[in-house]
Amino acid sequence: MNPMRRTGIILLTALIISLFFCFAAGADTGALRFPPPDFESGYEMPATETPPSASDIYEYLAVIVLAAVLGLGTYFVFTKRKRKYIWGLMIFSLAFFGFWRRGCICPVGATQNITLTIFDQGYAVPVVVIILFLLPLVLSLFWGRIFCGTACPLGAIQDIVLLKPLSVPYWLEVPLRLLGYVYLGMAVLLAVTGAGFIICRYDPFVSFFRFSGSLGALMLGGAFLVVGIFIGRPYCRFLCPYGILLRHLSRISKWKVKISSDECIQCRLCEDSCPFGAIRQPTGEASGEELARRKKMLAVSIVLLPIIVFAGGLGGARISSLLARAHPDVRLADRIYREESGEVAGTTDQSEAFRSTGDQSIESLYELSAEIQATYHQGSRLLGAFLGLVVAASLIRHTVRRRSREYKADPSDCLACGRCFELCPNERLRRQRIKEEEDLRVG
Amino acid sequence: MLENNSTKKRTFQSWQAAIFITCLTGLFSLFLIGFLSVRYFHYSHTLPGQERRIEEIKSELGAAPGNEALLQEVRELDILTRSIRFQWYGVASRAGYLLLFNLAVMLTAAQWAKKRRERLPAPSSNKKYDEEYDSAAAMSRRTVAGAGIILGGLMAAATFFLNPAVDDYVIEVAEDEPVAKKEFPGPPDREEIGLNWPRFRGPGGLGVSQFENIPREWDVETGDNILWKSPVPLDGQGSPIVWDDKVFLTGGTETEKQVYCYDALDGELLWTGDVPELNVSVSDIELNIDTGFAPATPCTDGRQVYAIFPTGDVAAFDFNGDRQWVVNLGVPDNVYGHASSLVGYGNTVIIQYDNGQADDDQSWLIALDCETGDTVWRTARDVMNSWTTPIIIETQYGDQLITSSEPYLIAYNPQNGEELWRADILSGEIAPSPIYAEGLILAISPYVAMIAVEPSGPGEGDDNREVKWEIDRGIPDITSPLSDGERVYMLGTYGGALSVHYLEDGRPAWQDYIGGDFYASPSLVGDSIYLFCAEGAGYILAAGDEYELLGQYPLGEQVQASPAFAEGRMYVRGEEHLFCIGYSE
Repeated sequence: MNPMRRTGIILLTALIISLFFCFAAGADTGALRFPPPDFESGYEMPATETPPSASDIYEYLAVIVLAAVLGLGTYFVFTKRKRKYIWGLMIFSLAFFGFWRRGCICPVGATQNITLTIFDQGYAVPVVVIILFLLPLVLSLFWGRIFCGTACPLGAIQDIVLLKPLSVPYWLEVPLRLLGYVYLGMAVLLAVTGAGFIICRYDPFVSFFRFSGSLGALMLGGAFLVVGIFIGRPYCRFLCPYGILLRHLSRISKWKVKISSDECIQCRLCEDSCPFGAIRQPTGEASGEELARRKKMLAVSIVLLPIIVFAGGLGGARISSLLARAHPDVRLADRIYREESGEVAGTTDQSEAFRSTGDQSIESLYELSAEIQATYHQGSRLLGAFLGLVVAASLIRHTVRRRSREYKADPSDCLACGRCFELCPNERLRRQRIKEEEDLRVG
Repeated sequence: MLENNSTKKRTFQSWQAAIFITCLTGLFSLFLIGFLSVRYFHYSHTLPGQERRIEEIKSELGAAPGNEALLQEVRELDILTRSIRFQWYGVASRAGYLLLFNLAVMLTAAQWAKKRRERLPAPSSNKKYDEEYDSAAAMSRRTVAGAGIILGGLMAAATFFLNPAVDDYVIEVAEDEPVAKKEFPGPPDREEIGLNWPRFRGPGGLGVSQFENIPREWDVETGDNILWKSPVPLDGQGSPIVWDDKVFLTGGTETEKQVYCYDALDGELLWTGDVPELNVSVSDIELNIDTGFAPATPCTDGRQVYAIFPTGDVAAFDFNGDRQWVVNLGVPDNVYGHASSLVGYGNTVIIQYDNGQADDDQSWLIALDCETGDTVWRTARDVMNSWTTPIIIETQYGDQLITSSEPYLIAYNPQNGEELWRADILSGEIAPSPIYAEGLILAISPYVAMIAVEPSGPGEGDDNREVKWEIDRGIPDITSPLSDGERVYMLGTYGGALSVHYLEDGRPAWQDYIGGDFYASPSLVGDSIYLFCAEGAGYILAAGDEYELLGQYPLGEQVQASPAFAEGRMYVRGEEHLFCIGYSE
């Protein structure tokens, strides 16, 4: 195996292990609580003041800036085709959406707000959140993942640390992408059931944007950035739930990013230029034997599809009571039940608070928990079936043989960063022609 | 050639300089990360021990409150922990910004160096596209299938090795120790309710006493017809309620909320029930000082007494004073403070919880289970905050719960909270509660109008339904109206303007001024009207077609609450005392 690839695999393994430890350590971003002093001198604590919420104008400003960045990004990627402009725009987005807006609210996290709005009639999101969520998606239907390359602060912070890109072999890249579907499915399930917004809770970079966060959150972000020095945008490629939506919409986009502004001459200079593994090389001609084998596999995969989906649904239903523990009310009911039945000794802060307030009976808590678990049972079944569908569809996709005679940027994986433009001789010629025309005009 | 060499040299130098800056800033970044880690380690290992010691000292002080040595130690430790914490915050903040700046410089230099060192790739020849493509696809299929199998395996393993949530919730009770659940008695019937004064303004909320043997005169100086007079521990504007031989009241301050039970026979305070603060304190809400901390009247069903406070806390006590449950309805958004009183219906306590503006989605009609305090039903209301208490009326269509808040008079099914009809007829900050007399619902828009509406069946009403009649003179802003079946009496707050109209068509009968300010609503006892002014005097008037004052008797302290009536007795809440006025025999 190519030593570079081997290093890439080792780094990815390290990332997955560090992710596991960070999550296990509870990488929450909650602030430390600091109790006030117990005054005995008669000093009266001043009333807690809630600062007024930020003016709506900033929200609208964020929408306007996002629209402007996306518009400019589209112009830079499709017309100017220059990496330095795209890079500049990306740095601006990192500063504005990341450090100035503190990473919130972003279209990535808004996925959960929109989901909860759809399923919970008592929850509503401001119109700006809907616009922020929809704008990049709608744009991707026309021009692909411009948002990822120019406007997303999570992508930008990973992009600037990418110094020594190593290629991840395609056979590894494909299954790793499944993690994003698992994350998206879990985020939707937990948002629908009101258990919480995990995309925001486990946002690896928000603690950098806000200069605050728990040690676990900082370690999580740090792990991504260290790995990101060698593996291009690991969060975007393997975990980002919003990226999943953009990936599928970009596949059918009207205009696609092209490496070459003219016909590809197969010079292969761009072959390794994409650090995100989005460039697909020509496929060559398949032998008759290979085509026959693929046909057979395709038939088997199609037959297997409903079986895999059904098995996924069954598996999902099996773990529903595990997933339900993500909901705080279920965890509380669980704890109370174990305390009541003598299975555990002592109390937790939550169970003690529940008992001392007495605003809800134990029976009604159990009923509530049972209701939530019933919702999880349905939701987990759907989640399992969805993941089964993703696996089966991926199998089918890699069974069908596409035909291509040139190097192409796969629209579903291309993040519109513009790196490949710089190496294409046709692009260089185009720029030369433009320069000459401009010189002539000036002359 | 010479020129080319010098260009190469310059390029080499800039690349070298970039690498040098990258290394320098990288080393400094590593130093900063190490420094922060060491400080964090020190901070996270020092503080917990000190904080544990502070907690230990606190519990020791509980046993020995005056121990000066311990007090000194805890003060010093407290200051030390705080200084360590704030010092850490300061260091972390400054070092964080420095690290960010340093990393930005490092990355810029590194990218610059990378750019300068970039070489055009030199791809190898004789590439076999078809073989590479097909083998990559085959390998990908295998890894995807493997990932699917791993995913399924993880699911299976999780069910075996991780602890699932309990979902059957079976509570096992040992057979030799049977725990008999205390049976909660059924709700009282109408006849039983009719013998008591279970809510604000008595049965039906009409202010009409079912007892006629109430004294028409008393004297607090001589004690004539004053059976007893007991102090009330905490202030409150809520009215007394009565069930059998017990009188209930509420009181409160900024920090306390209490329910009182008095012996109706001798005025002894039998018990005081404390309502704990849940998640809302008085500082979290808007509260007008005139509203006070206990403005709402409690209600009872003979099994328990239920009380609500401006913080949105609702509590139930049994007749022995044991608290059965307490719930919080959420932070109220009420410009003067929540003051709507509770109403009992069957096995539920119904609360008109109006908040904010009509389109704020904050107003609710809520029914709580009497036994558990759980929400039985909850209906959203598109009305603004109000201070009225709903009434439950019997109609040919069944029982209807009537609420009045700007802009709607709305009828609900009290069994499930379903809206039956509504009328878009009300305006203003509505405090007077509606009444029901001779088949007419009488609702008030303060200072503007009294409107008489006939109840409809479900779905018959609409926003622009016609009213039976409407009057616009002598309309009160706080007190609720009263009817003797022929006339309707309205009492103005300031100056005591008493306006009387005929119930049949709303035409005026008479109007007179009693003098004084009135916050307590009028009551009807037989053919007499009882009024209590804020200055602390009771007025007895004849109910009829002309003004006739039968008597005026001072109480000696201010009165803002409406009186409660029982067999031969009247209970009046003064500023400091609860008075029982009745015949000695």
